[in-house]
Order: sequence, then structure tokens, then C-alpha cells
Amino acid sequence: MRLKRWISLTWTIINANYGLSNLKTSLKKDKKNILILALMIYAFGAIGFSFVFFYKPLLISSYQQLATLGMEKLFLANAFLNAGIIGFIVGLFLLISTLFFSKDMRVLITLPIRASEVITAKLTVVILFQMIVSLAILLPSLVYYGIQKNAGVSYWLYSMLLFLLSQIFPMLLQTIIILPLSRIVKFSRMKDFMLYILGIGALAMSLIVVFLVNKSAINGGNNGFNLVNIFANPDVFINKLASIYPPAFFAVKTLLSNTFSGLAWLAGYLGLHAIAFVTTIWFAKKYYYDTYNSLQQFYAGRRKLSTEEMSGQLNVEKSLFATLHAREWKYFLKVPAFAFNGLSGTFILPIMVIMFPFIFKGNQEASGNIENFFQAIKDLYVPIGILGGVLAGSMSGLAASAFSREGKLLQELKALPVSPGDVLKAKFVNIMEISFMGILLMTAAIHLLLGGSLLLDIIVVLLSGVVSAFLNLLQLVIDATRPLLNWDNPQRAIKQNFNVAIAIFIVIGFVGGFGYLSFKLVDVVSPFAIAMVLALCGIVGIISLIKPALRMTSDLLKRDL
Amino acid sequence: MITLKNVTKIYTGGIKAADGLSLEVKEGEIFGFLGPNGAGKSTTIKMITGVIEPTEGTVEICGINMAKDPVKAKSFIGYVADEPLVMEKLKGIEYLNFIMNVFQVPKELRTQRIERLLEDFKLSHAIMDPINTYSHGMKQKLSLIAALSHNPKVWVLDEPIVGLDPESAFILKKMMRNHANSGNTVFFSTHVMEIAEKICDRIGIIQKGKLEFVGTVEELRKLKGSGTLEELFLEVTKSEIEKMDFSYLDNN
Repeated sequence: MRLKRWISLTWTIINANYGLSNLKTSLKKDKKNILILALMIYAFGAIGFSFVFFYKPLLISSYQQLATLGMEKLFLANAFLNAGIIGFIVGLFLLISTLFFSKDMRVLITLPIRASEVITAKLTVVILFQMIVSLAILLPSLVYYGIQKNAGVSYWLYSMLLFLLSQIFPMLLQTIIILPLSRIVKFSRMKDFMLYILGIGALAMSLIVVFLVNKSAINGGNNGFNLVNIFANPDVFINKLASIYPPAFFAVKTLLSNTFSGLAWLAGYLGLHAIAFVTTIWFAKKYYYDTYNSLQQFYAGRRKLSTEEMSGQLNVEKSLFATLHAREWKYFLKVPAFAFNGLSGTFILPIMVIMFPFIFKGNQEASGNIENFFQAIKDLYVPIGILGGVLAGSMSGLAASAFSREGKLLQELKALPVSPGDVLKAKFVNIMEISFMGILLMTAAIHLLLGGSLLLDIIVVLLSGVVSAFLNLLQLVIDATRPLLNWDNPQRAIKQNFNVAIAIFIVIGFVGGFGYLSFKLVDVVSPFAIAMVLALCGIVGIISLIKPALRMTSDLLKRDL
Repeated sequence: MITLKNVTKIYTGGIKAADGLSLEVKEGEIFGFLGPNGAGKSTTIKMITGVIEPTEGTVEICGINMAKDPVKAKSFIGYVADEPLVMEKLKGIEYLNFIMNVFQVPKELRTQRIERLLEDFKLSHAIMDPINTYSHGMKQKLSLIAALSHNPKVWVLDEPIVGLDPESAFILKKMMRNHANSGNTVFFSTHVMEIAEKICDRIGIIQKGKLEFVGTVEELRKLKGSGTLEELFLEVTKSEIEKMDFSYLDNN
């Protein structure tokens, strides 16, 4: 009976969170919504395409490089480590919003259901999402390694178990960080602040882990364990994993040992995860309901304003554009899920580029090779700068969710005396301002790496802006065509939005395509010409998209939603 | 001031929510729009306010065609939706400022008007707090204040009384009367028959997307016989409530 109730509860929460019934009804009700299916097929096709043509060769070359050095064991270690780190980052915000900001708790808290049942159901929602990471990163590596090594039955059985449990440990880390912290900063007025702090903290922690792991892998850190040692014995790195990320250590040991000692390591892995799971539930039971309840107790100032104070607040007249533009910024910054995802999506890439040389610092050989590589591509400074700037300026998902992020508030815009042009202009300018922040940081990062002149940097910033404007406008058109408006959890509008997924493919496809062409044509076409072609693409794209963008915005503001 | 000519709305899937509605609400009039749930009240109101477009027919506000010049037509309307449409992350005062900026209310009028409205609706003490700390009634009051802040000629209120405390409801009813007496128009939907009977100059009853009756309560009485407006409403909408048996609720 209790199991049945738990299954029903879990399914209901999954259904509500991912909007499954909603999608089904929408597809049934309006045949025009078949476009959603077409987009889904396109996205899956694009995923399949990028897997076959980009990810698979990368996987094979990564394995072969390690195999040449006799270090193919590290192939598995990397897969477990990366799946863990990325799963942690990806699931963090979903966990916060599923636990604290999902409106279903208003209903659930009134029902006669145990706290542990609600918590496990909610954690299932998060783990399902995180499993996409394991599916993309871990599973292909496990399969490829198994095929290459002609692995036996035990390898495949153990792999299946390791795969299924691979996201429990990252979830434990998230829960341990979030729940006690949320209890400390539990005042409702600080709810948004809490999200920012948690988000920034988690992102910083992930970057530090990535940095340390790579640094350890590349030049062994500061404790005498260096690249030569890893070459001599890859187990040095695998043993090091025990302190960096224990589940990866147990998993790799399970798969690399013979059937019986593998079973012992698997028992260790299962034990670790059993402890992790029990601790997670314990933490959640101890902190979740109390914290949730206190988050519902609004603390408000309730202060009356004097006439002078009110005049000060109200007597700032703004133009219509300035008003709508300010609305965009306020809504963006005051919804942590939007601000954090948008800003991290904009800044993460430039930050990683800046981190790059520091990872190799201290390893003269690697640094020397990298320096030579940089010298070789220095002539392509402007095209590389533009493509880097475009990645930072257009891949945050902000443009592709500009209308989706409105949610129910789009009804407010529809009722106000504002034209579609005003709405589009305010959204576009807001997005471009954020894009330029990413472009500037990326240009600074590339300047640090390749050392261009100020004039070249200015050209890079301007042309990146032009190309980004084109790609952002394209994303606005996509989102205006079919925005995701029916969400309770703001995370869905940006992270679980199909338009954002499509936009990422478009931007990566554009940058990858131009990057590939530039690389192939570098001997026959000057970098200046490549930069000009890029800029021309941007300008033609902008001009040809202005009218469709206005039309789609106008249609959206008239449409029955 | 509000003119509907043969307005029809067919939703995707073929559902006809409004079926050939024709109606004129004049200056100085309070018009009550009644109908059971799902009859088409909110759809009609959304077409009047330009939130959705009619499939057929035209909507005019103060002589301006909503489809042809929506920005100008909307500038005459103060709209309160059935569910408060407010940006919950903003403070109350920030939201009011946003609305007044959109409607370009001159700064010399802002403080005076908002101060009075806040006093009248007893919301002065909460105006510096984020809207997500408000109760449903407070959000409803804020929506009302925002809609009235730019002194629109036409008030369109979708169930404005829901969530209001008795004092605020009374104040709103008086404001509606004053607004109409000053030569403006008030169009509102309600399920509270008593309010409709007391303050409306005319009422319209909509059932399954069709206007079944438009006129004064007295005219309705002449047509359907004496009785309370509630009884007349149930007759017009062909409700079968008298025949219903609820004993199953207490049976095991």
C-alpha cells in the first residue's frame, strides 16, 4: 500500500515537474503543436549527429591517446569523474528549485504523506534529470571501453550497476550543502540571496575541482607526484581519485579488477552509496520540512511611506522603452534561476579559458607545447576571438528563453498599451547587454592567452557583437514562435526548455562550422577575410531577421495562450 | 465606450467560447457581466482588453478598433484580471511605478493619486514590501490600484470583489459608481448577484458563449417574472439545481 502510494506520488511529481500531461494534451488538442514533435525529432537527430560525428571521434581519440601511453585505465576514471562533477553542477539548481520553489509543496504539505516519501519522490525527479549526464558521458565510455577490452559478463553487469548509481553521490553532496545552508539563511527576504550564494558557491567549487583535478592529472600538483609517475604507473592517479572523488575510485577498481576482487570493490561502491543515500535522506528529513515551513513564513517590513518618500519613489518618469528595459533587467536579476543560469552561461566559458594556462603552470614541457600552439594560431587572432566571443555572447540560453521566461506574466504584457516593437526592442537590448559582458570577458581571456593588440581586441568585440546579435535575434524568433509559458518552476523556462537546447545546437553548429572552415582555409584565405565573412553573415542575418522577429512577437502577443 | 460587434471566439480544437456577441456599453454606465463558470465571461473580457483576438467580429474601445490600433485602445483601459497579474519579485511601489511609466502618468499626479488609493485600500503599510509577501487580497488590491492609477476611461474588472475584505469591496463599489457618474464606463464580471443587482445599471447574462440577456434587472423581472436576481439568473441559465440530490455525500 505504502509502495503504491509512493509510486503514485513520485509519478505525479515527475509528471508535474516535466509537464508530461501538459505536453500530451497540447499535442492532442492542437495539431499545429506537431511542431513540438518535429522539434523533438530534430533535437534528438542533432544529438545523434553530434554524437556520431563529434563525440564518438573525441571518445575514440581520447581512448587511443591514453592507450598509446598505456594509461587507458584513466579513460574510465575520467568518465566517472566528469559525470560526477557535471551531474553535480547540472542538478544543483534543479534540486534547490524542486525542494523549495516548486508550487506542488503547497498541496503536498497539506496531505497525509510522510516527509521521507515526499523527499525521496522529489530526489527521484532530480536524479532522473542528472542521469542524462551519465547517459551522455559515462555510458558511452563504459560501452566503448568494454568493447575495446572485449570485456566479460562481470564487466557488463558491474557497469550497469555503476551506471545506475552514478548520480547518487553528486546528489548527496548537493543535499549536504543545500539543506544546512538553507536553514542558516532561511528568512524569506533572503530566499533569492540564498540561491545566489548557493549557486555561486557551487559553481566556484566545481571550477576549483575541475582545476585541481586537471592540475593533478597534468603536472601532479605540489606533492611530488608528477606526470612521469603517472606515465610509469596510472594507478597513481586512480589511487589519487580516492581522495578527490571516492565513487570514481571504487568504480574504476571494480571494473579493472578480476570478477571476485571486482565484486569486493563493487561491494565497497554499493556500501558507499548506501551510506550516501541514507545520509541524504537523513539530512533531508532533518532539515527539509522545517526549512520549507520557515521559508513560507514571510517576514515583511510593513512600513508606511511619508509623502516625501513616496514622491521620491514615484516621481521618476521614464520613457516607454526605458520602462520596459528596466522591467527586463529587474525580472532577470530578481529571479535567481534566470540570473544565475544566464550569467553563468555567459561567464563560464571565458573563466575556463582564463583558467587554462594556470592548469599547465609548473609543467615546463606542457607549457612549452601550449605556447608553441598559441604562436601557431596567433595569426587567426581575430576569427578565433570572434568565435569565442560568439560562444560567450549567444550560448547562455537567455535569448532562446526571452519570452518563455515571462511565463504567466506574458498576459500582463498583452494587456498593456505597448507595441510588439517596444517589447522586442527591450528584450533584445537587455540580452545584448549581457552578451557584451561575456564578449568582453572572452576577449580579455583570449588576449591573455594569445596577446593581441588593443586595436584587434576592439575589432573582435565589435564583430563578436554583430554576429552575436544575429544569433540572439534568431533565438528570439525561435522562442517567440513557441515559448514555454506554462511553468511553475522558473528553472523549467531556461534549463528544461527545448528552445534553449535548439539554440545551443545552432550556436555550436555555427561556431564549429566556421571554426572548421577557418582551419581548412587558413592557407588560402587571410584571417581578415574570414573575419569579414563572419561579420557579413552577422549583418545579413540581422537584416533578414528583424521583420520575422517583429512579426513573431506581434503574433505571440495576439495569440491565445 | 465599449462596442462588441458580432464577436466570436473559437479556440483551437473548435471550442466556441464566444458566439456572435454584440453589445454596447455606454459612457456613465456600470455593466455587470454574469454567467456560470466556463460560460465565456473571461474570454469576452480578454477580447475587450486585447489579451486575445476574436476569431470574428470587432471590439472597439472609445471608438478605437482593438485589432487595428491595440496600443491606443489599451491606453483607455484599466484592467484587473481574475487572477492578479503582478510581478511578484518587485516591491509594490516598483510595480505601481512601472504601470504609471507605461501609461505615462505625469509625475505631478503620481504621488497624490497613489497616496489616496493606498490609503483607501489600506495598503500603505505594505507598499515597500515585495509582492510575494502579500496575501491574495493584497495582490488584488494592488492590481486594482495599478489599474486605477492612470485614471482610465474604461474600467474592465474580472471578478474584482473576490479576495477583497468587506471594507475594500465597499470602497470599490463606491469608486465604480463615482467613476461611472463622471461619464466613464465600468464593465465587470461577478458571481455575486447581490452586487450586480445593487450597483449595475445594466447586466448581461452569458451562457455557453451566447448572450442570453442584456438589460436592466427590472427588464429581466418583466421578462422572467418576480424573484431575486439569483433565481432569475438560474432560470436564464437553465440551471437544474432544484432537482439535484446531494444525499450521496452523507451515505457511506
